[in-house]
Amino acid sequence: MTTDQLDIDPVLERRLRTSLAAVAAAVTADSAPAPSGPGLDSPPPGRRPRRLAAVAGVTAGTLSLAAFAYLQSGPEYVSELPPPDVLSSGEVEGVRYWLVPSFHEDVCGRPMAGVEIVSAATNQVGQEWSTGGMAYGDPREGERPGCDRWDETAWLADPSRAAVDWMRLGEGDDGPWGGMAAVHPDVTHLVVEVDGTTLPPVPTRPREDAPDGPRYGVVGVPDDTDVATITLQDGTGRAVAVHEERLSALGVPAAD
Amino acid sequence: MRSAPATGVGPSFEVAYKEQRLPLLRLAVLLTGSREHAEDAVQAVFTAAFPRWNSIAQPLSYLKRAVVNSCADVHRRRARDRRAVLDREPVTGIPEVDETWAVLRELPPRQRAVVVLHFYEDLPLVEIGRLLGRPAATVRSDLRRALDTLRKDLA
Repeated sequence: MTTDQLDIDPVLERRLRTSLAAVAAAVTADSAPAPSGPGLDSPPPGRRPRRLAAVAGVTAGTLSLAAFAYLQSGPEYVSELPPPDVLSSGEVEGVRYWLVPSFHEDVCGRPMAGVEIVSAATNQVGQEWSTGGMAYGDPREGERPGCDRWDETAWLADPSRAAVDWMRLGEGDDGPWGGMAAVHPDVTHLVVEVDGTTLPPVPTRPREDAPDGPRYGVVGVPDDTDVATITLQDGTGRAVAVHEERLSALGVPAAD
Repeated sequence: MRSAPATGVGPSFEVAYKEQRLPLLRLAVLLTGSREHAEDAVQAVFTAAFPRWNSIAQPLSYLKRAVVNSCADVHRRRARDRRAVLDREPVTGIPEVDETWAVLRELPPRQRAVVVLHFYEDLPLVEIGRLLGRPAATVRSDLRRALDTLRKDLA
């Protein structure tokens, strides 16, 4: 595959290369010292409080905007676990997880569509939520970045259309994988095969506010899973689509 | 400060940090559109790499991949946080560059990542697909959409 097939405008390409290089060059180093042993040193001078989390050994992917404010409470913070309105739940490698209707707002202050996965390994009462979310349909850019809307029209016309997304259920880039699926209303079960082993079917559920709308399901698979295949089944047991993901190619590469 | 033992293959952790932090920070700024998020992403990657530095076979490649993925995590988290709003101030003072950067930052994160990795890092699309964990055809589609948007908005 080459980009020549895309017929890139040479003027645009030159402008992009020049601009990206110029913006990058405008980024200068600061005096942040190298990280050292977890918990052994003071935080780098002049850093904001949440950098403390990184220095304390919290790995990539868990830096929370208010990780230091663990005593605060409110709508942005975990008030109870399991969370309310659970659509489905499971446990893998000792990590409990729940799938719930999205309860956060986008940057425009509107409720987000779809669902969120909550892991017990990364959420504690009193701390800020750490969740991953997804929605059903095609994203349509909103008036600002982070204000996307989701157009379900085309997807509802085709039961094979689905979205599957994966995230680590542990801290940072460790722990088992949680796979969320947003599927057509006809799809009632997810059949998951992990490295050649078929797991028990996982039922899908709709959001309460759209009982005839898209359905959602969640699966948990082990940390060392290479390939996960999700077959979408309708109410008759017929496979309407198959989604395969090489999980070993996602996330931060393993140190080997 | 505790030091990570030097590896017999790649650079020591301290050398890698000294030499690679700024290039990685620049890449992360382009990927996230935010110096603040970029610093967090890069720092988190180095922090995660420190205790296992000796076991990382190709540390420089590892660091770049980790930063790319960490920046993707930033986008996922930011999508869930209404308080995170992109800074919109000029960064270079060069009108054409700042205008281009402003349009680039408006791209969906995945499309911007493909543009940055292709035109800044000079990575082929297959390699970008491997980095992002996406099929190469999807990467190509993302790039095409991004270029369509850029062509229109910069006309």
